[in-house]
Amino acid sequence: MKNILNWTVSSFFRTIGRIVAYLGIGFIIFIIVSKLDTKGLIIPRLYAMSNYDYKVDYNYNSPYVLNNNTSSFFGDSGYLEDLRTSIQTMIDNNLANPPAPIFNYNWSYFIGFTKNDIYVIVAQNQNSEFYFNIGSNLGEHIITFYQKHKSGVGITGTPRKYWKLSDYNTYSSFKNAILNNNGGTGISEESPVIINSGYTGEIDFYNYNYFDNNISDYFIPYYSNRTILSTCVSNLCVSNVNYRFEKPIINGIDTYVPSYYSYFSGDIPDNSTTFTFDTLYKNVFTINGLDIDSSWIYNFDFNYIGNTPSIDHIDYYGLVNDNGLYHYELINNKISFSEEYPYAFVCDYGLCQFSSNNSNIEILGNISGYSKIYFDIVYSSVIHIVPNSFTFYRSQPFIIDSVVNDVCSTCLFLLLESSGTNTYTFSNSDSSKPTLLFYNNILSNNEVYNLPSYIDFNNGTLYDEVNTQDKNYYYGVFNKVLTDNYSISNNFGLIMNIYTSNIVNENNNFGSYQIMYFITPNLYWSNSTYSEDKNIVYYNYTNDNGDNFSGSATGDFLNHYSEFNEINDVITSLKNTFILEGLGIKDVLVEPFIMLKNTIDSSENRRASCSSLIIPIPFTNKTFNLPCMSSIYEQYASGIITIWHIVLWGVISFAILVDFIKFLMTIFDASSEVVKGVDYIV
Amino acid sequence: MIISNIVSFVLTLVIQFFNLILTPLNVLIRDIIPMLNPMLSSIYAYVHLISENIVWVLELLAIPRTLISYILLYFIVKGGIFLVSYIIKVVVKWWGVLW
Repeated sequence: MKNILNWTVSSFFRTIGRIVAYLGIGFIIFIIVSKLDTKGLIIPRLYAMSNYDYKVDYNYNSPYVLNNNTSSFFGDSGYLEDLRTSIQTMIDNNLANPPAPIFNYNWSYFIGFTKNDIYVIVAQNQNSEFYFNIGSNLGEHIITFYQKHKSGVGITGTPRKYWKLSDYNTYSSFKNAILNNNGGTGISEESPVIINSGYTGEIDFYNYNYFDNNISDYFIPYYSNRTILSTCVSNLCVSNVNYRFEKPIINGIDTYVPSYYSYFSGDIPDNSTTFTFDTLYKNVFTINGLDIDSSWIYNFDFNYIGNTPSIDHIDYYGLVNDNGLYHYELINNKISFSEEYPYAFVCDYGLCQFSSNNSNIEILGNISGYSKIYFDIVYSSVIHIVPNSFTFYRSQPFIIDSVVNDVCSTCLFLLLESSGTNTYTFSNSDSSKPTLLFYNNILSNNEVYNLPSYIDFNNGTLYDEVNTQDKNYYYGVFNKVLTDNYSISNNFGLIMNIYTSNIVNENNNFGSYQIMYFITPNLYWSNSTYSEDKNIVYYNYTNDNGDNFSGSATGDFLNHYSEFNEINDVITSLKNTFILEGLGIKDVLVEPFIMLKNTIDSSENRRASCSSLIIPIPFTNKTFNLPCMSSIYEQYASGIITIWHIVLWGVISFAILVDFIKFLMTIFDASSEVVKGVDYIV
Repeated sequence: MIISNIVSFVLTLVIQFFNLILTPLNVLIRDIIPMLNPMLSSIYAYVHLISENIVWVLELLAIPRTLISYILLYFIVKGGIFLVSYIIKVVVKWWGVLW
């Protein structure tokens, strides 16, 4: 007994000591690796992708900021956020207490990120259109603001102020100068230069030699998911510029290459919803995912008021992997509405419709190598778009006809945007039809979603009970409904039938559609054939009360991870899904077991299916596609495969038999090392 | 089918066991040293990338999944026997010492 106690106590402390030592060593290694930013080395693509699309805290890759206290700049208490809220406050005050002279104008600001600095430009926008270009000219990297006057009256406003964040010690002065419209230490101003007569007035421009010479500049968004400073004064609206900008200077070629075109109009009514407003306003549309296919059809329409709009052309940009850093390059701008292209852009009776009805034309060129596409629609005149009227349609990828349980005949994939604000705005116009909620392939630690539940969309509450009769809310049961047609291994999602006559699909049909929410951790970069879930969908519909809803939903799922602890508020839960919590050591260790489990699962619905291996070819935008081989084997070498299987089974069975006999002998052999070891331990 | 179910059941137990043991560690790392989160997430993404493509490799080598189940089951049985024999030895040993 004493020996046992001795052994137990000593073993206990020895074990504890080892654990502490291992954890300590692991901690030190982690710290070193984190400091070295090895993450980007391990998976540069994923890391680079994480530079976009959500919180800026993770976004920045500038040596300057990394060496100069990042927290001072970013985050809710950083300089940038402080500046943003200050300007917003200023505008709000302006709206509440007009007409202070300085606030008679709309303000906008732009924050540009380069490798070596951050640039903030604050500008007033008068009764004019306002946009800017970024590029290089005669060896200088410049940003150029343009201001085109509708009225033909020259600029009389305050010159733009700009500031480099490397001069952060002058931040307070800069802020005061902006808010009070005066000068200050470290503040630079530049007066406009009228360069020519524009469409309805002069075009003035401001050139700022901001950029790091001889360095490819990469611009990333500051709070790209937020809508900031979108406001209107007396029907004049302006939005701040806080989008990403692109186009590194290639090989020092001194060509002026506009890389981003943000269109500012002063005539959009102020009752726009934020997201739609923002998207509509900038006319930039994003399509995520590797599933871009030139055979798809992209159509859109919107309502307008006033003069008939016309579109000059559409530019689109593709995300390019440049040694782990991403930038956007202009793919093609040949969508120019000439006769040689089978497009139509017709505006009549207040409705503009863009359609491309030939699925085989190269609408988008070769874009299969891009993971994200930005559409930039460039209008040739000032347009007046009715808020919430913009609808973007896509064709084939959103239609799946074969869904088990016969719950829908036409499925629309609608994804959560990061804020989750589009998750509870639907209504049920036909209460006689049950709307089912399904939950699929739930992670093992989220077993809470195996419970039958329904959602009351009146108050957004998720109840863990089932009521199948005549309810005005959506209800349903969680079930595993994904089939091989679109099963997504290790990922899960909600499928919801929406019975309403006001949801419009990509073919402009009305009816009941199934809305599928896919919450897909780490499927973001997958080359899976089921990548539809990574797309963006624009929707536009009216509920039973006549309220119009319009907007878009995008998927940004990298590193999102759900930790649902209780079911009491589905909205909160869904939002929590998109809070960046990271995946920890547990997930790393469990993943191989999940992989094994999915690989050998007896149920074909749950079993991981094979998807083609798509390998990007370095230094090109092309990919090398390696198909799954089983069908090829069966087609061309079924006999050989049968023999191979027989041999394989025979060899493995023999090996196992031999090993098992040895094992049995070991177990029952008291002199064996194993037994000795066991005896020693015991 | 039966073999797959058995192996799946065992793997589920293992996964649940890992979840139970390591979830507090996850929370601990997340709250105390959040700077590790991006790195761990990237490692996870890397592992996940591999696990996503393992099926492709199996198909390339024309290895039936039932064979994988078969091998896994063997090791489970082998480990189970070892565990049982070990427990018996411990019980016998302790029985002898205590009584």
